[in-house]
Amino acid sequence: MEILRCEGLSKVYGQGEARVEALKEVSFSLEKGSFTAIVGPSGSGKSTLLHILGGVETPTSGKLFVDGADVFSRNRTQLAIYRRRQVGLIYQFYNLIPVLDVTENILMPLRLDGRRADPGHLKELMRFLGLEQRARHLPSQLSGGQQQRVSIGRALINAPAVVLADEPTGNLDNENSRRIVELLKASNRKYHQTLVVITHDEEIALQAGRILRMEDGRIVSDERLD
Amino acid sequence: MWKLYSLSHIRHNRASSLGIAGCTLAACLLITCLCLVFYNIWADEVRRVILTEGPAHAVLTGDFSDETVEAIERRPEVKSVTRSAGQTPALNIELNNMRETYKVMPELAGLAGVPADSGFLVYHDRLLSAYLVPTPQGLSVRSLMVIGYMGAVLLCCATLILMLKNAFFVSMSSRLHQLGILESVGATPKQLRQALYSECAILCLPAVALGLGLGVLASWGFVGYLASVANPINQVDLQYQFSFWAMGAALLATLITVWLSAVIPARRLSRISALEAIRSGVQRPVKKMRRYRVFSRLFGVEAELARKSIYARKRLLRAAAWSLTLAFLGLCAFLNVEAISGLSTQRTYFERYRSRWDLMAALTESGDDSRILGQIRSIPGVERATAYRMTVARARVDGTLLSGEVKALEDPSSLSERLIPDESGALWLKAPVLVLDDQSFLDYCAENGIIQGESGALIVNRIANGERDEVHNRLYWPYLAEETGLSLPLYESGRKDEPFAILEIAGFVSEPPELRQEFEEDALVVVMSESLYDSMKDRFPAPYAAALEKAPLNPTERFSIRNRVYNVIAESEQEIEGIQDQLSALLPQGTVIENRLAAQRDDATMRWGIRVIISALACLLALIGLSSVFAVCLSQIQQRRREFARYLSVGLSPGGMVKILVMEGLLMGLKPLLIGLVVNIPLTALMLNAAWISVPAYLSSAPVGFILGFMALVLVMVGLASYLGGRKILRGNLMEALKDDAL
Repeated sequence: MEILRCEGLSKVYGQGEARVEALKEVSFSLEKGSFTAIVGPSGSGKSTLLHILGGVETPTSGKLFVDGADVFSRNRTQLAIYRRRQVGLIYQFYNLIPVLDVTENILMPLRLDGRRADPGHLKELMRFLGLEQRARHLPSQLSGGQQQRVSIGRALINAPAVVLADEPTGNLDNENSRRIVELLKASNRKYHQTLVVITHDEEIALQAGRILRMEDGRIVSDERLD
Repeated sequence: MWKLYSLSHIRHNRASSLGIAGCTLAACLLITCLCLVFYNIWADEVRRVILTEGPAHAVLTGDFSDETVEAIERRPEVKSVTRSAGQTPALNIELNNMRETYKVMPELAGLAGVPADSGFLVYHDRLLSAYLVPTPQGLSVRSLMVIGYMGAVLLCCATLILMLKNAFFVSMSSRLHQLGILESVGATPKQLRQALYSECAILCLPAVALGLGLGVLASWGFVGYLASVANPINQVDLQYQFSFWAMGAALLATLITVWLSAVIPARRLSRISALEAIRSGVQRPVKKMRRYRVFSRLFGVEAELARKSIYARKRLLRAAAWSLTLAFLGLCAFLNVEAISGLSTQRTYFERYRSRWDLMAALTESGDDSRILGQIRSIPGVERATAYRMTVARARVDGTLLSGEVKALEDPSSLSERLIPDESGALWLKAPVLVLDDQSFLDYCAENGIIQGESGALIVNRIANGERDEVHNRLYWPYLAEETGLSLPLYESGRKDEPFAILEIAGFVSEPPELRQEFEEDALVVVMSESLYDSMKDRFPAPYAAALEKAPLNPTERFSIRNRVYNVIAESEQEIEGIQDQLSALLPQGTVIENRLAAQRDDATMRWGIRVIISALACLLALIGLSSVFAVCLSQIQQRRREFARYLSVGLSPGGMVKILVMEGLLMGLKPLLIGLVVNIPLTALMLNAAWISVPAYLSSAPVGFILGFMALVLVMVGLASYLGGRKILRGNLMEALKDDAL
């Protein structure tokens, strides 16, 4: 079942001599529950694509459909709700809110929606992430791997349509990187979560079911591994 | 290169730069104004001392020959020697260096053949202490006043350093990213500090120059206003004096204050590593955080985020918070004290005296007293005029003469500290003697139901028993048993051997005549007629030397039997001014005529003036705090953009971001105001209780306008700072802030 479809997405920055085409007519779709890796050299447009998919950047042209709805026909408030409910973003540098503890960071998307967490679901998620003993710790009291797990929890709490991860292991050592990838794969299996990961790491990319290779703002290859 | 770099930064961060300049301007204005006002108060004191006591540094009392005078004049330390023009011959000596007075004068006294410790050598302590010349025993108490002024200025500077350094730190740290890049390409810490100092100089020097000028103007205005209010009331002649020395001291104090405020954060920032600096001084890790569950429940998750954000930045906001809290607390407390004091004065003084006096004048007795009184009574609009004189004698009352209530006490002298028992158990007490003109005395007797045919005196027979009624008025007992045929001997103060007069008491009354003097603390007040006094006036002692020495400006304060006081009550308040004009024409030139309404107006004017001055000071203090708020809101933009980008990435809406900024502004502005209000409530309640003023009475005079105006000012300015900061934070693509270019 198709969960996400983008048609002719383009993004242009600047004007005149400073004009940069970060994305050029990118089109593809994702199946629900799929695990897709996006690879490519620096400046190929991977992060720009991810940010557009996440609704934090608007394309210069093109359309994006998630769950059948046109994302960029919405106003700014509706886009914020889209980011809250339909996507989960994971960053290389975690971007946790430093004044909130682990539980509060994970629950942020729910609280912004004015909803309360199901205690059972929260407990299970915390156990899944291995953060039960750290529930009341602030980000400054966590290791890099732990912070990234919190970031994953925050992305998963709302059971979004798609989870987008931008170099999730870029700031971690090998051991933690391995664990994070395992977690992401587990969430993909357990929660049937659609997952898109940007990575430089070929090993991680090979663990995905599909690899989209980008160069100069275009998708140059689309390789299915499963 | 650094100047260009700093100028460029200033041009691109106008609001933040203006905040720094504003802080500096306010600080300089305050310091300059304080220095010049204190200088003027000091200079006025010195001027008055010289005017009343002369410019001499010391005086040698005695009749000295011309040769002795010449010998003293020839001494190189001596500036001038003048012979005293008074009854006692003396030499007034001024030295070239007054600081040598205590060292040189004993030598000069020796030249004149006067032992230094003989008492014939007198130092002009008031003048010397004003110039901080230490006595052989050290600095005198009077010098402490001058030291107090300096201390006040130093305290002000220290407070300003604490506030300004935070503002500078916030501004400098907003450029940390750039400074980090400069450091990574080879700039030394010293070069980085130079960049920061040059920015400080560019911003602050013009502000200091402007602040200096405004401070001079403010001090001139303040002293001028003080003079306009105080001069007529206190009969002084305060005039503004400008001093380059005082202004130089203010400039030096300001420059040191600003320099220290800049150098402390600049040194701190120059020690941060290049990597940390490139990361724009990676936000200090939040080690501890409070929960704000109630906050969150009441106002939503955005309010909780705002509250936590402020808590995380509390160190930076501390100075602003303190400044605003102190300013508002001080202002509220002062205005409440002033309002309650005004109400109390109105009730206990002006309203009470409404039926007692409207105009008063005192003259030394002359043969014309009766004629003058008659003329005063015939002035149109005069309802009543009384002429009286007063003195203080002492009376001795045997225990058997006391009233039953007083006798019943175990120790009657415990009723008042003015009752002094002697060995036989009799009580000595102060007995004011009030002499009314004959007509007024007859009227007084008639009011009290006493038929006064024979010559005799009346006694106001009451003593406060220590209790008060429901409106806080004193309650009294009769002091003496009211027996007929009583004689009261009167003694001169300090003498117990022989009374100077024995008065036949014609009757007892419970209230003194309705005059300005109330005699609330006195147990025995003797009231007699002018005719009775006339028949025995030679027996009354001469006016007390102590009272004469004081030479008060207002002769009615002088307890001298030789003075006659004219107490006039008008038929209506509208007539008072007209009656005063006619009195001025009637009485000898230069007679001081007190006007109750004018005194009330002067009191109101002075209160209003003090209120304005204190409000201005509070505003100045608040301005410094507000400048810090501006600096905080307009700095650390990169860090705050990152913070908001995180919120954005988890789905916070644009409205939610605005709500966070609005809540932050409200929290920054409201918290100090609420603290000030809450602390003032019990303080005000205590004061109302002590002054016996009801809450409704207080509320009718409460300084609501001033307080609300101040609160509105603070909230508007904090709101503006939040708005300007928020505009900078939310401008452009927020998600760029999540990119980390440190690697």
